[in-house]
Amino acid sequence: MNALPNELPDELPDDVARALRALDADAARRAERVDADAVASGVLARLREAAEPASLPRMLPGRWALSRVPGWMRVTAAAAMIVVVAGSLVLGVFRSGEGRALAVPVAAVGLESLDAKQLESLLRVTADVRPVATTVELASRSWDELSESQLRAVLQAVQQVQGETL
Amino acid sequence: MGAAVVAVADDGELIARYQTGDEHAAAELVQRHTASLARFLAIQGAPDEELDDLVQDAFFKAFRGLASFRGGSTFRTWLLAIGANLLKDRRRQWKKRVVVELTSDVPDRSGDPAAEAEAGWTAERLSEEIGRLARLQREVFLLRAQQGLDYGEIAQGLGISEGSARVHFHHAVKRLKERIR
Repeated sequence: MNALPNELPDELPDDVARALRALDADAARRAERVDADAVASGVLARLREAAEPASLPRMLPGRWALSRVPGWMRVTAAAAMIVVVAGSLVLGVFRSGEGRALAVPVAAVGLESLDAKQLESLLRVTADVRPVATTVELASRSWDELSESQLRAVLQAVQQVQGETL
Repeated sequence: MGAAVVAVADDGELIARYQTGDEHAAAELVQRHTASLARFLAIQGAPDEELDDLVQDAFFKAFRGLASFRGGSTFRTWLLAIGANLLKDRRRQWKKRVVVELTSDVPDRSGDPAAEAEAGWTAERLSEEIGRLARLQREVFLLRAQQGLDYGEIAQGLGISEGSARVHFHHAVKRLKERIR
């Protein structure tokens, strides 16, 4: 009853063998439609693709993005940053009433990212802000409390900053 | 001035050449084994529209995993085992069992329409029953009866003992014989 594995019959019964031949003929006919050349090309392409990423230099997303930004756009962005900083300086002078406030926003710009011309513009802007600010009463704490002439002075200062940098 | 002798590289040589960067060797392996792999997948019910992808995926996996191929079995057996695994995974994705639809152009060997119809019906039943076999029974049965591999190779390829391969084949045949009567 318990036949050893190598004593098991190896032949297929006739009916199974006949059915299998018919089935296999159908499978072979379907298999013929598979284009071995196309399979080889596809496999090799995928193998190359799978091997490629390791050999390509990887760049950080930020660096990748920055390297593709046009030069004029980078200059505009730098100028816009200067305007924002200058605006902050004006407000900082109003709020604190002391020159010490100047150091904080300027440090946030990242001075090393500016070229000589931009630095020169920034220095002129910061020099111009003081006289404007000193004409404003130090007691002022919000825009609503500024007089029309004070508001005009601030507006002129900001416009001057924009004219200098753009 | 002797006759030119064309040396045919065996699979092991082609694998070694591919591993040193020779893509032609890989292409030669694909050419050599595409037909039997496609036939092996087709008889298990892989749909026509999926055959190309399955064959390509199996070769891709095989080449990517060559480091784990120890040469205990032949490359072909190993490839067929990878193909069977892929088909099993795809079946899960398809979420329904694919049954081979035998068309009327199954070769007619008798010339007798009644005999042809009966052969087609039996083949269809066999296809269904092969699909119902336990996985190892099905793979051993097809590797032996369709692909003509010996038990030693089947055992190596599927990671089972030779005796176990024989037992699986025996049970598969017994069950198929009972079911297609």
